[in-house]
Amino acid sequence: MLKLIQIEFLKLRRRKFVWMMMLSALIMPFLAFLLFKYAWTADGDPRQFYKWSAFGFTLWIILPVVLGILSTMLMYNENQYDMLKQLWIVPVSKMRYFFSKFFVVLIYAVCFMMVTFISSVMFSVLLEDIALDWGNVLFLMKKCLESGVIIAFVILPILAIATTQKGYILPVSITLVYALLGFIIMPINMYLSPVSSMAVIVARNGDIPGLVFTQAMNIPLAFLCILVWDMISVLLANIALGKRN
Amino acid sequence: MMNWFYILAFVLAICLIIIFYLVTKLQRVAEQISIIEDSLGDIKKGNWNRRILVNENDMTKTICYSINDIAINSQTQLIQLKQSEQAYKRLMTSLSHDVKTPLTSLVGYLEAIQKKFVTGEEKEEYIEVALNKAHHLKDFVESLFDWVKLDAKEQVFQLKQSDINELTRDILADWIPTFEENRFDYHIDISDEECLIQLDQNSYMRMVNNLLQNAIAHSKGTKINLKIMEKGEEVIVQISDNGKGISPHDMPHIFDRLYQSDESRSTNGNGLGLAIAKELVHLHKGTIYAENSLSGGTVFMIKLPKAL
Amino acid sequence: MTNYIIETKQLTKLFGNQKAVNNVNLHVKKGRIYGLLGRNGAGKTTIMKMILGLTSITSGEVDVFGKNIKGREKQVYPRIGAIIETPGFYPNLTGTENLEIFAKLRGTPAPNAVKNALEVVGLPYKDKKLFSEYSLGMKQRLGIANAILHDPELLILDEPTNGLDPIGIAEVRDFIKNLSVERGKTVLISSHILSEISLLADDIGIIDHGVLLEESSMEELRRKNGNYILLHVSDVSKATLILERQFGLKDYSVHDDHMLRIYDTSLDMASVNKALMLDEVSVISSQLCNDTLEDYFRKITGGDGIA
Repeated sequence: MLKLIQIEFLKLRRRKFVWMMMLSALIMPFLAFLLFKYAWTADGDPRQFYKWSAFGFTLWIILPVVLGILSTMLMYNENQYDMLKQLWIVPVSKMRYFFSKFFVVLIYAVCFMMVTFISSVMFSVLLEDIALDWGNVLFLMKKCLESGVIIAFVILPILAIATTQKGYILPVSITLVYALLGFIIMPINMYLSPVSSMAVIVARNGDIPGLVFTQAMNIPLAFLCILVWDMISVLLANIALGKRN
Repeated sequence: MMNWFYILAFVLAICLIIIFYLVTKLQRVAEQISIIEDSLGDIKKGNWNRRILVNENDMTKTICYSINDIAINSQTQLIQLKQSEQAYKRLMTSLSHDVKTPLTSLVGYLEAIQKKFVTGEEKEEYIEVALNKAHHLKDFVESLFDWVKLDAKEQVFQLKQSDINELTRDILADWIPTFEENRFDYHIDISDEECLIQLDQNSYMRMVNNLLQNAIAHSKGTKINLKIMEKGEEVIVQISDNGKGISPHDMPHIFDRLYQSDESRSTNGNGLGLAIAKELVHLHKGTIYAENSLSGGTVFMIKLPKAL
Repeated sequence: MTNYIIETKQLTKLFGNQKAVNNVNLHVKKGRIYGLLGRNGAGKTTIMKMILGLTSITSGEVDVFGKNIKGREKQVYPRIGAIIETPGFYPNLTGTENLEIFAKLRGTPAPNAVKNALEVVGLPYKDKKLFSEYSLGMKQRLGIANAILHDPELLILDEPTNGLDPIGIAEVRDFIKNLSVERGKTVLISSHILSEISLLADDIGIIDHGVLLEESSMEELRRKNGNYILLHVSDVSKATLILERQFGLKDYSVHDDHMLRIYDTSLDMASVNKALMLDEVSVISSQLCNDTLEDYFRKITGGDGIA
């Protein structure tokens, strides 16, 4: 499995776009920096800053979309030239193939959030009125790691869909819809969409100031939601990969 | 108290990870060993095409590469053996032909003489022909034994530092009568200076003799040229004639033993002359090749290194 | 029986209601080149995919190395090298990098496997050209390099010379021939080009509309379709008696009650006719026939020849 993951990264050589997407992790911290410098004030509470630099749009829109595009690109790599049949006769196990790509997404997500974390801390230092408090920094790191991992799991269904498609337009569009849907459904029922479930998990214990939920917080249910969606996706991928024409 | 607990838990976790890693590694090696077992069993049964595939960081890498090498080498050896067998079968067939034919003919002539079918002048003629044939057969058998000795690498070489120019001049001196007898003009271009080279003198004589013999017997030309050139660390001996040249069809085979082009079968050569020359040249770590010259006729080139 | 590297029994594939492959019984012998000849769309690629387990089998069995592949993939696949349809590779990598990925996935039998494979097919080692910039011929060559990278015992090649120039085709042909004759590897090759198959194959299977019309050795086929004299007589048994006793003829075959094929075309037909007539065997017609392989193919596919 390790070998497969290593090979996946080799396949990303010369795909500059993938690494440029990582730079989009800097968008929110930078914007937050500008915002807090010129418009608002954080009242010395770093968490206010973090809310905008690391937790806001990053978690809801930017990261899911980036991961969705990444998943699509990973799958498109092979689907484009109908290479899968060459892989099967090596032999490469279909599930291992799928999960090796998932681990790439996972590692990428964690790296992305680490970039977010570091840039948030750096930008927060630049804002004079926020104290550098190790407790908060550790908190931020913990939350970033968590969200990176969970969002990777949340995007698994997109990976599965990309498996079934030969092109890239459909999965990318679905990613956008998926992310927005999560947003929209949230007021109705937080546990239908994995995206909102993700928010629930990350925002537990009132960790994120200003994020208020209208319904009761049920962490296990949130996990269950994500789990169910993921299992169905894996099944879908299994069938799609196993389908021989 | 709590701190100790956390540290302990952390250390335990690390240990578990290490154990997990080692166990997986062990499993991988066990898998590989079972694959090696299977493949070896197959190879033992004679399937030389079975290969064991390994990655660069596998522990069993060198073992597997070696096993694959052994299989490939055994296969190559087998192929070579089969080829040798076939070559010898061919040799035997052509041999039996090349000995049987003149012998049968010889017996025919002698019987005719014995049974007094011919008399007087005709009888003398027959005796002369029979003697000729007997001589040719003797030469052939001698050449054959030389060839077999060469092939079996039993030939003993005495390498001496010799002046190739003087040696060649001596050889040619003996050939001049033959040239004149066969109505061949000759042109010799050998420098007066000394050119020292490590040679087995007998072999060198053989080489030159065989090439000259070949030119006289088969070229159907009227002129023979011999030229010796020095080029750096090599000496080049060039023997050319102005005969009919060698057809492209025959060219790749002329140095094969017992190869005779269709036209030369009827004449008095045997197919061994050039083959022996080639073997001798190679034993001197040199090269020999032939090409048709632009003005018609053939050029044979022998390249010998000055020092072995 | 156990000499067959690949054996299919009643292999059938249905696409909806259409029988793409119909009850095919293929036999590929060890150390020989098997040419699968058929027009485009005859079912060659589908058969190969089923042999490799890439397509599900509707009914029938496939045995490779004596047993079914299913469940034994890890042991069997490393012994097979294949090209199916046009080989695809990663466009953002060079040829060498592509092969190195497959080398990492499969493992290699020798340390310089990638370099050697590229050398054999005539592609440069560690050069900078990306696969997306490759010509069709180069892509095909890379596919072949990938198939031979791990020195497999069995090669399954689906139209390997597709897109190659004539020199390339000859090179590939020589290479495959060498693998089979010198190294004793088994090759299953498909093509719709008759001349290629006839130069290469030891055994041949002719397939049309999913049906394996004929399977025989190349020698046999040539013998059946070389020059021969077709003799149409009134009494075949009497005729064969005369041919054997008076002319010592052994090289002939009886076609049916009235037709006879004589493979020895140097026979003096005038005296044969005379001898037959003297023995009251009427010669209705006698002609020199020369079926080329193409005519034969046309005949048994009952159609328009090779597409």
